Amino acid sequence: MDRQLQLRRTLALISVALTSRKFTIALMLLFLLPLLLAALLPDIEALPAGEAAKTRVSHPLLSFFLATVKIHSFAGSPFFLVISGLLALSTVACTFNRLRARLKRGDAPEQIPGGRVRVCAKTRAGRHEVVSEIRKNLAKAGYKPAEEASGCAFIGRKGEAGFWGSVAFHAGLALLFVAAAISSRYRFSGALLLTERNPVSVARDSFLHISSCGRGTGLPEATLELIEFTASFSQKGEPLDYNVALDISENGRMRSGANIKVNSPLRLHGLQFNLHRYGIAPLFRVKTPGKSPIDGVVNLDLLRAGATDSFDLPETGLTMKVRYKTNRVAEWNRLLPPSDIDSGLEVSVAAAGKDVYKGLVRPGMTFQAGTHLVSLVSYRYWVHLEASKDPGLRLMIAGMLACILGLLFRFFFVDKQVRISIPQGENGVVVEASGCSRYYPGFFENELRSLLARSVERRG
Amino acid sequence: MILLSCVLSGYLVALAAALAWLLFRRSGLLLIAEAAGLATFAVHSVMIALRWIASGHPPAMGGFENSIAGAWFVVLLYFAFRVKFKGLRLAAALVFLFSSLLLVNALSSTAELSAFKPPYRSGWLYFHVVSAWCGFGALLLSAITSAIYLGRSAREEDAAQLSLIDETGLKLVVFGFVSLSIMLATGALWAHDLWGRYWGWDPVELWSLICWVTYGIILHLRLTLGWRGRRAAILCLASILTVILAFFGIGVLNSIHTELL
Repeated sequence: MDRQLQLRRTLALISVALTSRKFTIALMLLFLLPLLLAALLPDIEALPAGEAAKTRVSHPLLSFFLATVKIHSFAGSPFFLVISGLLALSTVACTFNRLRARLKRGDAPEQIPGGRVRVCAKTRAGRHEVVSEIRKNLAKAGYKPAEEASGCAFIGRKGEAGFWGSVAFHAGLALLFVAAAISSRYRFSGALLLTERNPVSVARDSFLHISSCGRGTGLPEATLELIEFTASFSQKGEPLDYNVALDISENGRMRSGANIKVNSPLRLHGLQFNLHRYGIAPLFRVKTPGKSPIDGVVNLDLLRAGATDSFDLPETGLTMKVRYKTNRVAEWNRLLPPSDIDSGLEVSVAAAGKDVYKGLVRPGMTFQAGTHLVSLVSYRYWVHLEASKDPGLRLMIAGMLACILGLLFRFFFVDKQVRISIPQGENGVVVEASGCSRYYPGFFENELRSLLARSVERRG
Repeated sequence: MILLSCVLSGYLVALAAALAWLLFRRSGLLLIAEAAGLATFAVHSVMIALRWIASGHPPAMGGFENSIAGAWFVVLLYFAFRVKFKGLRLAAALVFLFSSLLLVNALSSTAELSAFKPPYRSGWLYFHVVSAWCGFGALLLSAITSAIYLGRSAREEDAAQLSLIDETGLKLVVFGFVSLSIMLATGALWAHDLWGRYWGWDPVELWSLICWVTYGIILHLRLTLGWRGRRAAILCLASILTVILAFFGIGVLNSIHTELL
């Protein structure tokens, strides 16, 4: 019994805390804190190894703090996750509470907690004239005027839709929290490397790397083949657009051709493919006496002259270091097709750490490296596609839409309540307007003044 | 560049007249300031249109284009809000000062025409950039209004007038917050089309989120806890720092902190 009572008390306390405005604002401040720390403090993990080690020695406390709180990897920071979770709960609890109060109240008018305002005006005109003018002006200003039972006063109200705007915004915010949690837990992303005329199946083994999240994501049984990679350039040589032309086969049958451009990804069974990078891929052929030749495409990221890369030639024990020689692959308004790239590669081949060949190699050339004959057959392009699938995306879009629509409603509809009494006096009519506005009492007072002035001035 | 110098000179004239109005309180001076500001704004609009036609894309790339567009949005929002909120006339001098500073920044940047880079070629750009500048302009104006409030409340001026200035500032914060929300949402959707992810915690995104959460807190304090007057104005004035960092200081701040370590 005691335990039940204690549990009830704890739950009540949690409920009070979660629906408290001050607690919510405190949570928001706590949410802001790690964001500010991450923006202002350096990310030691991202520094080069030497620099990171130096920093750990010179700033041990800071390093310990950053390593413990993991401020730069938000998705994994326990502090950030707890605060986000509490903030999401508080958002849901507050919104639920407000909705419940609203439903309980039904059609009865709400007491607006804003500033109260009172203005008066006198006129010698007849009461009927003033009443009809005030009715007209109230309706014009967007109020729904209703006469009180006594017949001496009007009550007008507007901006009630603002409440629903606020509810929509907070509901949207709660959706965003849920979507962020789903995305950080189940989002799949991986890098797929395609070389021209080299089909690659969309299978787990084909990816260069897969992000740790979303490992359970189902992948389509499809094969992608890069048919052509092209780019257009301006007269000054600035890139204008890139195009990846693909063939897609599903279950062994050709499905269709497709194109990927920047900002225009390919969507295949929920998986999105974005163009990430591109480069050239030389095709080498290695002949070893007594063995059948080996053809191998090597993807190099060498589009600028002077850039170097190195790789191993398969089954030969040779390591090849290459340097791209020419100044540009791109010529005016186009990227050269691979067949037109007649650019030399500065090649240096080593076997067991010893140089066995050095020289300039062009497509079609063959050179001797130790006991092997190596030919540079041709060039091709490669593209690096970023494949991703985010089960939280739709919820995120719904949340963002709800937030924005809700905010727009809150912005355009402000709760205002007005009561205008028009008693007949001895020397005319005294009009008294009083009311309250949720957020803008100063502007509301001006609004009431001009409403009365408009209703009264033309009547004398 | 000639047109840019003309626009800068126009805003400086408007600034001088607005300052003179603040000092001598002659209504004619405010009229001159706003007339000069409006005429310059018209020339500024022509300059932006010409730049757009010449480059073939909206002015949203690089320091030069962002500065001329930013100055244009600040003045546009000033005149748009000024129609309804008369108290905003007190902000004229600061508005013309900020616009002039942005244009000085444009003068010191390279104005060379360049093609739109492939990532910029997206329909989301229009929503994202316009909402970003609207948010920046509105929040800058709200900070200016807060400064005016603090200045006037120190001199214990008419409470009704002060209340109107305070509420104008609140309206600007609400408008700025809506714009920031649209900016974040459209930016996330654009990022999803461009990179396959809607959020990546890079410095730009991080500072934008900081800015959004900061103004969310301000709105909660003002709308639910009823903060008004001096403390609300101080908070609003201090928070403009997050907007400035989000829009201009990301790279600079990162490098400063790396060096400090």
